[in-house]
Amino acid sequence: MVPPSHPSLPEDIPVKVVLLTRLAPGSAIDAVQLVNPLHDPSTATTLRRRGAELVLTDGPFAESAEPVASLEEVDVDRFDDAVDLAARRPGAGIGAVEVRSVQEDPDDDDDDDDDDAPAVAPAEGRRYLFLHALPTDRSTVVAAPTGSLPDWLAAPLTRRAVLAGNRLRPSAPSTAATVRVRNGETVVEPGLQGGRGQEIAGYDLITARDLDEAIEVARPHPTLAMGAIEIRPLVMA
Amino acid sequence: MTVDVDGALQAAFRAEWGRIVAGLIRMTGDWALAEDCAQEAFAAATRRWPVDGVPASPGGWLTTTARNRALDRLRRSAVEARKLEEVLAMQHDPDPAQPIEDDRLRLIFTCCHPALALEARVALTLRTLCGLTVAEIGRAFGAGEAAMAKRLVRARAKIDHAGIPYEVPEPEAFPERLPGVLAVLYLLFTEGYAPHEGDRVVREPLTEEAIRLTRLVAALLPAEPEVRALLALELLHDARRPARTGADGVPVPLDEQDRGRWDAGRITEGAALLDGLDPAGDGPYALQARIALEHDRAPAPALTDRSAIAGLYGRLAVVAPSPFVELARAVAVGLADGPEAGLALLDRLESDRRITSGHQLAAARAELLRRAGRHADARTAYEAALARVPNGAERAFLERRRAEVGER
Repeated sequence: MVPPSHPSLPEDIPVKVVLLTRLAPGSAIDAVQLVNPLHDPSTATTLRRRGAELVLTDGPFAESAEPVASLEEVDVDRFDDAVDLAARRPGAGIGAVEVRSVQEDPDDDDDDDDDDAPAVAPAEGRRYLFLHALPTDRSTVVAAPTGSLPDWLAAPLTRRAVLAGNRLRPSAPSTAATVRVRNGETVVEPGLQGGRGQEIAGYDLITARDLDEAIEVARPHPTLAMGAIEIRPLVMA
Repeated sequence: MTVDVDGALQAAFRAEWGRIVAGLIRMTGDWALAEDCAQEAFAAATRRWPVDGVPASPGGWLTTTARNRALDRLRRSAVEARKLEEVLAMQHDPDPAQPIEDDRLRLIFTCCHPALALEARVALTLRTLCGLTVAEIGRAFGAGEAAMAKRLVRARAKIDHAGIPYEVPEPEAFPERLPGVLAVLYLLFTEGYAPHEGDRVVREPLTEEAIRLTRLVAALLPAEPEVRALLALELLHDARRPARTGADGVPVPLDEQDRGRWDAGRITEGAALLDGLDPAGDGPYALQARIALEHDRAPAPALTDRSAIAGLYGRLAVVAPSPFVELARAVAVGLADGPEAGLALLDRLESDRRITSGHQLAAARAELLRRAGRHADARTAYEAALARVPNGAERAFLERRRAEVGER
């Protein structure tokens, strides 16, 4: 394999990243090859708030030629190692694997980390991924969502439902990369592609009885004050 | 045998289709299987009833037949063996904690779940509850059969994969969930009443399906005033259907309709439904129904209580604010207090881009100007409306009006 070249990526200290496999709908790849495989984006439901009203729409928060098909958390020593890992994922050869850095929270030491034993055993049920969509330029919105996040994390319904979750660092050439393998060659593009108005700013992996319960878990989340939550069902083994 | 077998089949289809499909979905959790087995049961009835005679309980016969088909299918398919065990276990051991509930109510709430796109909700409702074929639904909404089939497959896949529950929501969730159901029923009715495309003003079967379905929901949720109000609204509008279209297919304006052809039975039923509602709690459907009733009970256009109507539109503008309600209110005020008062209200809408792109604002302005005797201004407004209106019956009507003011 040709070593990836990405001069603007930082040589970082140990980091936690997530790998988002992005695949065009109908790509020939089996769910068993993916970590946390998601159902087709046509099964997505997007939540937004309009005044006091919660508005649901059918489909993902933004149209994409290559929607998210899987999400995997990895711990690496350097960001470059994550890029190497991404290039070895099956999706990189068909679609793309997006590498995103996790936002380590200085205030509450790994409090929302999945290493934490949940206070209550997670409910049996279906699994869903919440993708939090916020404006790409988050300078205007940072204050509001962080304020009530601890409240959401402490809510009984949340504690029973959430299995894992993290905030992601705003995408920049130093925090994100899009990795593809074409004709045996690894192509790394720093940052995210396209000038989308909103980007994935965080995620939660939850378990719920059905979509209605998943919506109830998402309803009080501070993201909805200025962005959207896309709920994606996971393919169950 | 002199029994009308075709009539019995049709009646059974209308009465039983939705109930059978709803029951099979609860039993198997498989929407496509449920529809197929219901279809097969009716096909069997079409073969058997002319020979064996119409059974004493057509609904019971159809339910048993459909259920047996479903069990057969599950038995034949090895992967479904586990599901069959669950189904059989469930039949012997009904969950005592579950209140007895009409399966059709679950089906309505699932078909009309807000996580589904509105078009998908309408298509699913027509297919599963009313039993319209995919081709019929495609025709009703100007989509091809293949496109409609794809939409239905996608909607069923979403219900299955995303885990949209097959249940009636808790009463606390009704304020959030019921409007979605009513929106589908109302859309079915308005699509049948004033289709967007084509030039037939009334698609009879769809308004009939909408009324039948609203009647069912009203019977299943007797405590919900807005459901009754929606049924009243549909009946009070549908009462005018016989007089609404001229021989040439052009819509006849309300004031020119032959009121003797209105359906008095529907007006009486609609009025009785509204009588049972507390006006203080009126929502958008009740207010629209009361407006329709004011028109329906006037023996002649000149005897219409225009002030009452303007007042009701004022309340509607508070409960359900929208530029289209404001437009209707302006016209009502124009008729109650004189065209100039209405025109002044219309002026306020000129900057609202949600409404200026369509033809309705210009058409309303033209109508009030015509009534004010300002024919030159009216003609200009009709031209503006005609520049925006799509082809069809509405266009023919506006052209006629323009000719009327143009000849002066």
